[in-house]
Amino acid sequence: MRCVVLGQSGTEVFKRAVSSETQRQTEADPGFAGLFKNICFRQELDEQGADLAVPVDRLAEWLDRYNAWFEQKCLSAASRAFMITQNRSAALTCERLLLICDKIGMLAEKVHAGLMQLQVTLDLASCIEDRERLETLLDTGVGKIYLAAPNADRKKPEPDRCLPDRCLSVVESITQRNVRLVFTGPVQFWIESGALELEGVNALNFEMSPQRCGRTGSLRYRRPFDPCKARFQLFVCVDGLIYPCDGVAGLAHCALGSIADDLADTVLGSRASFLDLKTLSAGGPEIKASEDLGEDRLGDTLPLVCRLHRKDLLKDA
Amino acid sequence: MNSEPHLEKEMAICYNSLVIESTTRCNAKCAHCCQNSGPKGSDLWGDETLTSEQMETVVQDAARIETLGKRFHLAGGESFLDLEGCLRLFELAKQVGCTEIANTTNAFWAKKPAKAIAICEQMRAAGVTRMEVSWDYWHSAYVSPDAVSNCLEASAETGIFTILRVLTTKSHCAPEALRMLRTEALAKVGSVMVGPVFPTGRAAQTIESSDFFKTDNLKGACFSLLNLVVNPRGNVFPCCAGLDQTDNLNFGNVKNESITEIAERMNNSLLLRILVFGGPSKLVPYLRRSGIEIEMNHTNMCHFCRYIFSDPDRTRILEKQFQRLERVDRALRGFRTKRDGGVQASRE
Repeated sequence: MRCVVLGQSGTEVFKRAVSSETQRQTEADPGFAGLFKNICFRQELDEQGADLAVPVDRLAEWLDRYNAWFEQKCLSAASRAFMITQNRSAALTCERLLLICDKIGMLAEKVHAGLMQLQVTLDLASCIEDRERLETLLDTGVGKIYLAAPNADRKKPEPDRCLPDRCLSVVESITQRNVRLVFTGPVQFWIESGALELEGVNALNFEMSPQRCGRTGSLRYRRPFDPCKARFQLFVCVDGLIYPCDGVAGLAHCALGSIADDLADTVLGSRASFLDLKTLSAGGPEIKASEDLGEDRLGDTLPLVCRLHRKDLLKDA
Repeated sequence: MNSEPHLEKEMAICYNSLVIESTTRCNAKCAHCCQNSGPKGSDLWGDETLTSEQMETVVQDAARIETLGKRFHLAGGESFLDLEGCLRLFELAKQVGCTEIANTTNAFWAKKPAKAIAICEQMRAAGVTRMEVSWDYWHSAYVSPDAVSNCLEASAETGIFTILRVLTTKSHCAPEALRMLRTEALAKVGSVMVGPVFPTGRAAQTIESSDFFKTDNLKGACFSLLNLVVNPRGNVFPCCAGLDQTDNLNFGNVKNESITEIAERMNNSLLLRILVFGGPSKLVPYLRRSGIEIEMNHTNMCHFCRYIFSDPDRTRILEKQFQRLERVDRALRGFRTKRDGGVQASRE
C-alpha cells in the first residue's frame, strides 16, 4: 500500500513516504496520540551553560522515537493509506538559548523529520547582543520566534541595551528570513519600539502575546466548561518527565512518563494514567478547591481554572 | 512500491472547525470589509440571514462528520445583532460536544463596561471559550475604541480568551489601531493577530491599490488550515478566507440538504482536492491550457484563490476539466479492479 505523511509549516507543505515497517505496525486506534498535536520542550541550560538540562542529543533521540510512534498511531484508521499531520509544532523554551544555538540544528532536524514547525522563545536583549548566534539559529530553519520584550516582569525596561535602531534591526533580520514573529510582553513596549511600523513586519502576518511573559491578570473561573483540549501538549521538562499540559508540570504523579522510557511503557502507550485525559480533554477538570490559591509558585501565568486544578492535584501528591 | 501516492485523490479533507457566517448584516460598513457587509446587508448579496432552525440543524448534523474538529465558530457580518440567537447556538454547540466555542464580533455591544460584563457572562455560561474581536483603523469609524477596550476587559474578567484581529495596509499599520485602545485592556488580550488587508470585497473599491501589501509567492497549500464554512446564503465552503464570498464554486446549500452530504460531495471533488492539497497555484496550468490569462500579483494564496473562483468563466473551465479527469479516473479504477480480480481468480 502506498503511504504518505503530510505536514505544513505556515503555507509550506512537506510530504514524504511512510516506511513499509511503520505501515505494518500501524494500529487502528490512535489512543492518546490524537490528543497531543504539539510538543513543548520546557528546558533550561545545564550548570556549565553548554547544553540543555536534558541534553539536546537525548531530546533528539526521543523525538526520533516519538515521530515513529506517532506515525504508527495516527495513520488514518479508515484507509490506513494516509495521514495529515496538520499544523503541528515543537516549541523550545529556554533562557539564554542563543548560547547553545550550534546544538539546536540537531533537534531541528528531528522536528522537521516529524513534519513539525520548530518554534523558539528568545529575548530581545540577547538577540541584540549576539547577532551572530541569532543568525546561526535562523539557519536551522526555525519557523516561529516568540520574541520577548526586555524585562517584561519589571516595570522599567533597559533603554540603553534595547535602543530602537538595534531592536528594529533584529526584527528586520528575522522577518527577512520569513520567520513568523510573535511579540511577547507589553504591547506598549512594541508600539514604542517602532517594530510594528516596519513595512516588512506589516506585510506578513504577525502575532502579539502580551500575557506570555509577566503577569496575566488571571482569567476568572466562573463556569464549569473549560475543556483542556486546547491546552494539551506534551511538555518535556528539565527532569525529562513528560506532562500533558503546563498546569501539571512538576507534579510527578501526573506525568505521562519519561523520555528515557519506551513509549509503549508510558501513558501514551499502555500505562494507566493518574489523570482521566479523555474527560479532561472534552469537559475540563472538576474543581474541588476553593478559589483561595495561597502562595502558588506558578503565579498568574495560568488561567485560574488550571491553577485550581493544580491545587487539587497537589493534595493528591 | 510507488512512494508517491495519489494524495489528491485519496486523502480525506479534514476541517479544524465548523464556521457559520450567520448574516451579511453589520452595524458597521467598513471600507476594507472583504464581505461587503453593512446595515442593509452585503453590497453584492443584500440582506441574507440564516434562520435559527437552519443554523441549529447545521450544528447538530455537523457533529456526525468525522473529519471535522470539535470546534464551533460563529461569525457574520455581525452575528451579535441577534444576541439571543447566538447564545442558543453556543449552548447547542456545547451540547453536541464542541470543546472550543468561538465567535467574531466588532464589540459594538460593549459600549458600557457593565453591559459588556453582563453579555460576556451570558456567553461564558453558554460555553464560549474564545472571542475574536475585529479592530483596526477602518472599524474605528463605526465602533468606539472604548467599546473594544470594554469587551477585552470583560472577556478577561469572565474567563473568555480573546484574540484581537487587526488588519493593515501600508498607510494604516497596526500601532495606529492599537494606540486607540486602553493600555490596561491591551494587557489583558490573549493574543493580537495582525495581517494585511486583501484587495477584495469593498476594499478593492475603496483602497488605493498601491496601499495593499503584495507578494509574488503564491505557492503553498491550505489542507491543514481548513474550516467547514456555511456562508449567510447557506452555501458551504472549505474555508472562510475568501472563497466563501464567491458564488461560482458551489458544493451545496444547507437550506436544501444536510451538511453531511455536502461535506461528502466536497471530499469527492477532485478539483477541491487539488486546490487544498496542492494549493491554488496548481490550478494555473489547467487554466493556461485553456487559453486563460492569469494575473499573478496577489496578496497571498487565499487572495489568489478568491481571484480564480470569483470569475464564472475560470470556474466553469476548471470544473469541466476536472469532471473529465474524474471520469477518466473512475474508468481506470474500474479497469484496475477488473484486472486485479482476474489475477486473483487465476491464482485461486
